[in-house]
Amino acid sequence: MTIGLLVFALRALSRRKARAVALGGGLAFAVALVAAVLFLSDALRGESDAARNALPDLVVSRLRGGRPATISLQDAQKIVGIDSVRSVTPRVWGYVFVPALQANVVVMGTREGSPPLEAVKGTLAEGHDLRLDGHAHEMIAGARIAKFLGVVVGDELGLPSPNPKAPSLKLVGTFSSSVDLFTNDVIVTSDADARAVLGLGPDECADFSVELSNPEEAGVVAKTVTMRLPDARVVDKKLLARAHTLAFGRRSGIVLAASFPVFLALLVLAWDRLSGVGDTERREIAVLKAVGWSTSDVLAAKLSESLLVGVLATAIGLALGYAWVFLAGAPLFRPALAGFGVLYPEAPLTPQVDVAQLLGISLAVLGPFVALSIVPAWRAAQVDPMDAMRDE
Amino acid sequence: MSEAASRGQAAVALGLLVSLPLVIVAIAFHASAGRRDEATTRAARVAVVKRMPSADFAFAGGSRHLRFLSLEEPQAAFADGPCLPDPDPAGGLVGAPKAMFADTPTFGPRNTPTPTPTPAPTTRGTP
Repeated sequence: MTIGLLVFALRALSRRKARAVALGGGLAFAVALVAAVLFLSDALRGESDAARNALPDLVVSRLRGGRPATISLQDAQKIVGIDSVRSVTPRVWGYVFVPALQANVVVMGTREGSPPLEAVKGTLAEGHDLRLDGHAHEMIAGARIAKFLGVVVGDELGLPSPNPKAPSLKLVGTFSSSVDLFTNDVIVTSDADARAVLGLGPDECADFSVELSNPEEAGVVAKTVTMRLPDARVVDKKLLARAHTLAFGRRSGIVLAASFPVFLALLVLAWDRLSGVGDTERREIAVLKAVGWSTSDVLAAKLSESLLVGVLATAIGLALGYAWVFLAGAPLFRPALAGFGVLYPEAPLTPQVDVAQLLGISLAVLGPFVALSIVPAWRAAQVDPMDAMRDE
Repeated sequence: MSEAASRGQAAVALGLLVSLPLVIVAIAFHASAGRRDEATTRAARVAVVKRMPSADFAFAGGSRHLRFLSLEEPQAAFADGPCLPDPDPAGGLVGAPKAMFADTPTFGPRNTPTPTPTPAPTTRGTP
């Protein structure tokens, strides 16, 4: 392909601006749609993968009648004795429906000896970590909970509880916006206060987190746990990974499938526009052939037109898709792909995009578009100059 | 048409052609910078997630009962209400493939049923 052909194609496009804009605009929109879905689901998967390393090897909870139920602290003894189990930690957590928010808030207990959050920069937006002496009755809340309930550091809040003796909790800190994705609807307090608010008995907990000396043995240990505790449900990290991957993959798949008619309509439009050679275009081709252009020259010129439109539209589409997700925060898409939440986290996502993925999207779009234009271009190149002149 | 105008059009045509590689490089560069920035806050995320029940996002579940979907599915029995669409597998419109749960440890003793003695019929009034 020579510069001369490209210049000729550019001039031809500028003579038929409306058609070029219609085709290019449709293609750019389709590329932006596909790219945004892929960028967003990859970013969510990346966030999830990075955080999963902080989780215990196994989580053991209990089912009663097929529903999650609290588990007895004594059951920990049946797990501690299993080979490869390094520690079993009871966790106290649950949900509290807050009518003022019309949303569930997660109340999470913190055991004594947990590493202080202040030691890690970026965890807390303001305030300090909990004092876990049993009498402080303190809490750290997600920034949005504090904002919507109108509480600031130093205020006390009585959470709805089945336990009339549940203490009011003093807000001593709020989580930073950089950890918004995980903490937006969470209130962290001491184990004792969480137990009181959630109405759990002194020998009950929500589940056990189990650390293994050899994480590769998670499957074997999980089976042993279910043998010893027949009503237990054991979740290992691999299952968590699969749940996340499937959730984001399924959602992005549904959105892409729902967008399929848009792509189909675009291809039909492209075929219709490209195959309809108008009188002016026929005359142009006739003149070109009369002055000595071969069929292959005309074909190359027509393909150059498609290539210029396709390349520019793909570039605009990729840029729009990227800006849509990572600069504008993926409006319209984020609830569909990430999930719905009354207390919706606004934390920006980290792009996981790489050159290979961008090239893949570009080729997947450009290939069919240019290929689609070959037959109409061939038909146009077959115009007999004498016939075209005579028709005129 | 003058030679200058023709040269200008050639530059525009070439510019259009290289716009795609330029955009790809620019996006890849911006994304890479974003990942570098994220690495500085990763320790904070890990520290916070250690105190959470799971690494699920605050909007992970379509239903209010599925905040920690990886821990609660497939046992979550219902969504926000009867007949309400739920994008997640528990009673959802589109269920997760069963293979996903193939490796989930099941109830060992129940997989090998043992014969249970038939209870003796009780008669009203007998001691």
